[in-house]
Amino acid sequence: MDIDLIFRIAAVGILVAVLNSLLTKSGREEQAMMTTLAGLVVVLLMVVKEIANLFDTVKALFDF
Amino acid sequence: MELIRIGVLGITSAILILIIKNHRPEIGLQISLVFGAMVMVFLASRIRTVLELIEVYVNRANISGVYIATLFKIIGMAYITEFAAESCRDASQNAIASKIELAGKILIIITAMPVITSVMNIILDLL
Repeated sequence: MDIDLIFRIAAVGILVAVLNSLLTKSGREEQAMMTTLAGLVVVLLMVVKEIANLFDTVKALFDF
Repeated sequence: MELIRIGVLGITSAILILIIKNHRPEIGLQISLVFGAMVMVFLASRIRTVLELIEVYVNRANISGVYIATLFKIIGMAYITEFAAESCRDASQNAIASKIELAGKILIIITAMPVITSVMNIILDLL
């Protein structure tokens, strides 16, 4: 039950949101899009790792 | 004790999702996915003790292991199907969720095929 994973993802999300609005305000829309995608990829990596861990546990437990 | 941690973590992640939802809805969904995965991993270790208890009594009653292995496999499949379908429904994709559930049902029936055939044979022999 590593609780910090959720807070890390939330932090990345909030950071990306703030950066995004900052960049769009200063007129650089494409860079805002890039930061959004970068944040999404980082979060996706964490999520996929956790879900892979879940599926391995279930496979080991119920001997698929 | 663990229940308190899960409850508090669920509430905090719900609040975090609400914060992020209007700016970045996709990251909000991923927070709920990660929370679901963590709770399911935690529950999987608890379910193991229940399964071992069942296995002990099954061996004592010397029922053949095939049925129990199929039963465990079906429980695992239902476990994963429910997780995937609810996550898709959380992302308001009801069509995908129902497809996953349909696939889960059919695959479970296929896994249960040998048990069904043996039961049918026993019944037909009785008649």
